[in-house]
Amino acid sequence: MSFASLLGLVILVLALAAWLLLLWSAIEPLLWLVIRRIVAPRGLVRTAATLARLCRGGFEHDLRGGSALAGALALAARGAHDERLATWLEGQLGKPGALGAAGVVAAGLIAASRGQRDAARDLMHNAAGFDAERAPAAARVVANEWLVADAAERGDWGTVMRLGVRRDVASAQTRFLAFAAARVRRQPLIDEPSATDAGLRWLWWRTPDRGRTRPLLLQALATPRVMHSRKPTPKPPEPAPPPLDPAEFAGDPVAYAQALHALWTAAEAAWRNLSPTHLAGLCKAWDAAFAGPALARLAARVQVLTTVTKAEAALAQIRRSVADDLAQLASRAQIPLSALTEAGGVGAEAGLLLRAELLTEVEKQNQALRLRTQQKRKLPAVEELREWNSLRRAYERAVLLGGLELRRLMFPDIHLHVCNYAVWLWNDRKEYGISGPLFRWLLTEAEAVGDEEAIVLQRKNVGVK
Amino acid sequence: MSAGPADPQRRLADNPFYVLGLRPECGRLDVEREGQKLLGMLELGLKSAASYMTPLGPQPRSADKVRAAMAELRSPDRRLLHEFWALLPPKPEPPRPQPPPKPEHDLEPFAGAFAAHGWKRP
Amino acid sequence: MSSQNLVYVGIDLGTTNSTAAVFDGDKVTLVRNAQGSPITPSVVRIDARGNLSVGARARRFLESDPDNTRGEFKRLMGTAQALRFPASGAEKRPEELAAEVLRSLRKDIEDQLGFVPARAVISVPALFELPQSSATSEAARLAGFERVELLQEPIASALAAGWTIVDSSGSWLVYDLGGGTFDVSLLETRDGLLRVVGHDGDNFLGGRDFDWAIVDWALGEIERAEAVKLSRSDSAHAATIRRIKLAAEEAKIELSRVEQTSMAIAGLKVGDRSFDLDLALDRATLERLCSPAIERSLAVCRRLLAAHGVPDGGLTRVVMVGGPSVMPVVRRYVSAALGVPPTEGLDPMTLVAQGAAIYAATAGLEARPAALEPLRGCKLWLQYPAMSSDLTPHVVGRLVDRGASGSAVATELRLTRADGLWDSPWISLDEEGAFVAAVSLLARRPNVFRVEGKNATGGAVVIDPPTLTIVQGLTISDPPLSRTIGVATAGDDVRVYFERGAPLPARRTFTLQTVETVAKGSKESLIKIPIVQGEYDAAHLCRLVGALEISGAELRQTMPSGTELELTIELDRGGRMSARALVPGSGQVFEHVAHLLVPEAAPEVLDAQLVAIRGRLGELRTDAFRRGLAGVIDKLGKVEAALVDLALDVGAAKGGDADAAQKARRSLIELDATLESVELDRRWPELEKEAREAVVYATIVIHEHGLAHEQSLFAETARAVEKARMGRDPLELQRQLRLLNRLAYAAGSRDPEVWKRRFEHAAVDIGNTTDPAKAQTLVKEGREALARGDGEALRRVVQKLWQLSPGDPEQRRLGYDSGVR
Ligand SMILES: Nc1ncnc2c1ncn2[C@@H]1O[C@H](COP(=O)(O)OP(=O)(O)OP(=O)(O)O)[C@@H](O)[C@H]1O
Ligand SMILES: [Mg+2]
Repeated sequence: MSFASLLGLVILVLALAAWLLLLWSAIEPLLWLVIRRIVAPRGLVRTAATLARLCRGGFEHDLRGGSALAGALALAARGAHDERLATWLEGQLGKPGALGAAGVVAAGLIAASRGQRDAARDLMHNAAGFDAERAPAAARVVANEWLVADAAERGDWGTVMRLGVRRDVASAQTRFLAFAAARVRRQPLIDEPSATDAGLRWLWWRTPDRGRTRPLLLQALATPRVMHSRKPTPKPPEPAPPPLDPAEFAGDPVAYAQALHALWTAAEAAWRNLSPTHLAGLCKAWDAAFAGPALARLAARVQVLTTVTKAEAALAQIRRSVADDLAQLASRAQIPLSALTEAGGVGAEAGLLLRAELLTEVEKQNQALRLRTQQKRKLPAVEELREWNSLRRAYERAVLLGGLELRRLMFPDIHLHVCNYAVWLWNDRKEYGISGPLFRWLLTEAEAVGDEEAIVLQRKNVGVK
Repeated sequence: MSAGPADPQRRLADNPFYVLGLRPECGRLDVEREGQKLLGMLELGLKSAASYMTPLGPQPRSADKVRAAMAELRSPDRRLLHEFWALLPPKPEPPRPQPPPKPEHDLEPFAGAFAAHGWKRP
Repeated sequence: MSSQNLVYVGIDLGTTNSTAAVFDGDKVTLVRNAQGSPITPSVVRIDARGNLSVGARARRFLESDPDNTRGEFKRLMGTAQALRFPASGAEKRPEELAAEVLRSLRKDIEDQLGFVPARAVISVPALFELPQSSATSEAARLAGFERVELLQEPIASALAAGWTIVDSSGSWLVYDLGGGTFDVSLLETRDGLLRVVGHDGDNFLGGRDFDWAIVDWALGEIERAEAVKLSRSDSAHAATIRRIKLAAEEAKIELSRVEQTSMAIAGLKVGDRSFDLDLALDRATLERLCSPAIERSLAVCRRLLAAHGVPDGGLTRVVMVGGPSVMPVVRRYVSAALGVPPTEGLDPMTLVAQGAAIYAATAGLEARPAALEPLRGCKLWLQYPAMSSDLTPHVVGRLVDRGASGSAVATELRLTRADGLWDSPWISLDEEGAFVAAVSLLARRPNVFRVEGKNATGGAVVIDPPTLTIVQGLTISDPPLSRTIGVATAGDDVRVYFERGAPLPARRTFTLQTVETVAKGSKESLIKIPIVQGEYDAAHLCRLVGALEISGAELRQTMPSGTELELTIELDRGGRMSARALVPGSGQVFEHVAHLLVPEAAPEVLDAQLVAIRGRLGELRTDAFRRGLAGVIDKLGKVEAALVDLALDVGAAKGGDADAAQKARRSLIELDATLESVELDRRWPELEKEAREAVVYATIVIHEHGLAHEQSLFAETARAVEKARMGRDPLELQRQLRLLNRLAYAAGSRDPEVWKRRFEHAAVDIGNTTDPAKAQTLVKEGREALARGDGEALRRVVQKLWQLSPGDPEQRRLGYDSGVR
């Protein structure tokens, strides 16, 4: 064979390779589409996971996560949860290497498949918080779709409208849900004009399951389009007849307080309608009862029953259980701590109980995190996220109810241990995907409470100057 | 010592006086007599003993509840507290059925939201 | 069924002596053994040929062949300690020995009644814990009983006394001084109902203490007369001392009858010397020797009365139970201290068994196995109390075959009392085929009622059963739980499931949360749910009685921390416990509870604990003296006094006395609790001081370097610190201090001088870091930065140094390593 023909062959082979490469890069983006639209909906977990390994473009930093994500999508499409497959997927996720957003979304889908919806929601939110380089678009799109679907299924349309049109991650499905909801509820979307009928139809046409979304389309089309934001005129809520009428007992302060108490605490889900004013009314009723009548009643019965307990001691016990109930009630109805504290009397006692409970919960979890960091007891990356979520939830709950006061009070300790934890994750374990958002969260909190020293430190950690 | 169950929802519903169908003024022997009778009736599965009235409506009665109620009322110190919480008269008539709570939005939750993505669960 | 047929059996399974009694609804009869005595010593002997003897026949060998003759095994119930009988090589667990005693009593009952009793009530000490109770149930099962219920001894005594005494209302004290335990219970009867108000006791006080006091006295006398020194801790003297102790016990018992007696033993040997013992002992000497122990029992009584607000003279009656309470001196002391003479006419030795038999009636535990008689007539299913304090209880009934109709089916019923003096009206059955009727009882006796029926046409119908019997008398309905049961949580708290006094059977479910993630398939990760029993708030002070373990190996899916677990604990009437945990998320259920035994008290462990507690005491004392904390010094003085006794017990435990070992273990727990409370007292002033200093420091730095918003926040925080200090709230004070320190730290960090100080401070401590070599390098770097005046570099060095500090040494939870909260 001559040199020339050899050269020719080499050139031919090279050209062929280049052509193949070109072809591949042209079809590679399609591969993800194939997985999502064809393989995953058939519930082919292992096939989807294996195919996804070829999607170098989409998940180049996190092939493992991408593969798990594809598998998890297929798992979610199966009629019944298959624990064997779920475990297999978890095994794929648990292999060494840092966790990326795709892996987190996969873990979220697995959790959802097991019916752990709260945990799934947290994980999806986590994925949304990952740095862009560790969060491939495909993963963020799935996370967003899941969150939107979850909100729609719970009837939380506000969230649907907010997330459904979020830049970069909105998909046809989420956009359609957001626009349809905006139309029906006569509310505007952020930075988006309201859709025309044709626009709505077009969006609907692109949803993957037109059959299921059709009723929503029809309902939206039936609602006239409004150009400007207009709040729907709130209809006066029809008062449901209470199972018990405190007014009947207006003559007796103790009975009145009890009836009111029963109405809010014992009647099914009554706390949903509890407002701070209601709570203040309840506290006032109890204070009136405790001002004298309750003690008189107890004292009379102490005589008859000849108890060892003195009437005062019994009253103190009752007062404590009332305060306990009030605290629980406020906590369920998410009424700010200040409403209790300002009510004075037994309300203030309840406020102290609730405050201690909120703080203790955070402190306990924070201590657990501190211990684990100190002893370097590792958990699988997804579990690390879940633990952090649970601490953050407790903290945010305390902030929600306790306001800035509790936020300031909790922050020093939280900052210390969470920061150490995030550093451990970052330095020793290279879990950048998880610890990055932790630093950002710490910075936000530090700014909120005005902790200058922490702000400086976290700015450095986050890399913002 | 606690004044009844820690769950505020049960504080009234499980009050021993309501469970036994007695009022706070009753004597000690009434507690034993009623309790004994109710235990017998429950053991025989009699319908008339299957529920009791509270100010918030009827509640199912069980032998466990009756025995616990008797034990609670035997101690005068505990009884004192339960008396306090049994002040309201039990409701004579069955409660009106409650209308379901009105949805906050004029758009119903979308039950097929996950399915519309091809996700069979949750 | 007629009243003659009713038989209820009660058994007092005592440490020293056991007794059985039967109750026929009318009166109680004691069961006599082959020797004709109602009292059977709780002693078991196995001889070289493997022959087993129980009771008086075994007891005779206690002196001559102590190794193969075992008594007092009740004190070891619930422990894993097996007892060896060297001659035969046999080895028996405590419950097996107890079963032998029960079997012997069961035989005696059979001889007396003519049939083998299948069900009975067995009494247990009020302070028995779950492992001990379930060992007792197990002993009964081994002895062949089909069903037993356990009843606390003081309740049994009170029931028996209440049955005998006509006017039984008021507050009672049951004073039960046994061979080695003292129990005292406060009870109250009103309207024929008996209620336990509270109890207290000392697990290590009893007749034995009197015996030892006499022995010690005798040893002194011997030393004086014979110039021989005998020592209780010298194992070479053990045999001699045992003989003296038996003589002492005999003399003590004798002195309950007579004014003066003598202790005479011939041929006592010490080393190569042999001598005869003959000592005169009179009541006055006995009183002198026993009064410290009696005083101890009275202190417990006073403590109980005070705890329940019973004023002086508030007691109507004192019932005395147990062998030593026969002693005139004990009775005299008790009546002087409590202001009421002990109730006469009750037999202290058998009262418990009598009460147990009466309780068997209350619980409807007929001793005879149910006979399968062919049923005839219209079958009725009846519910009524077998025993009732109420004079007009209810009888509830229902036709078994409700669908049936015809002339053989009753539509109306009537109850007629056998004496013919009372009958109910004709009662029509309702649509469920049921009726409820109040019947009238004659007080304090069995009442038999005939059940008559009429069909729709008015014809008589034969009813099955034709009669029913209700005994009227003092009752107690459900056996109450003796000690609070709960789950220990990771925070060393106790989540209470059942409070002391809760009626049995009982079941309760709480939702708990896991504190750590358990990875599926991982054998190392494990969640422990410890179940504890006791009255302390701190879990580690309570007794561990069982544990449920969930290991990663059996999990179907990983359980993240914070997973909810529904834990159900169930107790049956005999005090046996079962538990199950459901993981609602996965639907998986865990049920195998590791039932724990009473922890064995190994002498070496006890010794180590004793040393530790001494050390802690020393530290606390030095500290308390330095700071002049009078209250603390006082408390510590008491601990010190108790340590003397404790040391003796630990010594005896080393000599092989298992009982002393158990006693020492208990005392250790109690002393630990006292020291803990002392530390709490001490911590507050320390914290307060810290707060004062922190405020002073913060005022200075924040004033100099604080930003505007930090200044105002500081003012607010300083107020909050003050408030927490006034309210003596340590937790809140710590929180506010953290915030304050944080503010001061941030402000201080703006001052380069502060970083220099921080560096010097950190540089001193490098020996204690986790990596001293690295710390060394860092310090060097720091010095260079300092020399350069590079504040930023210095700051980095200090922060790195801090990271190397070991942090506070972790007390991984005292709460029995609980994995839930
Ligand atoms: N007549 C008596 N006078 C003085 N002491 C006696 C008399 N009879 C027995 N004892 C002592 O009583 C003790 C045994 O008492 P008792 O039989 O009541 O204990 P027990 O019931 O076996 O123990 P427990 O109740 O702790 O299980 C022994 O110490 C014995 O010496
Ligand atoms: Mg006894």
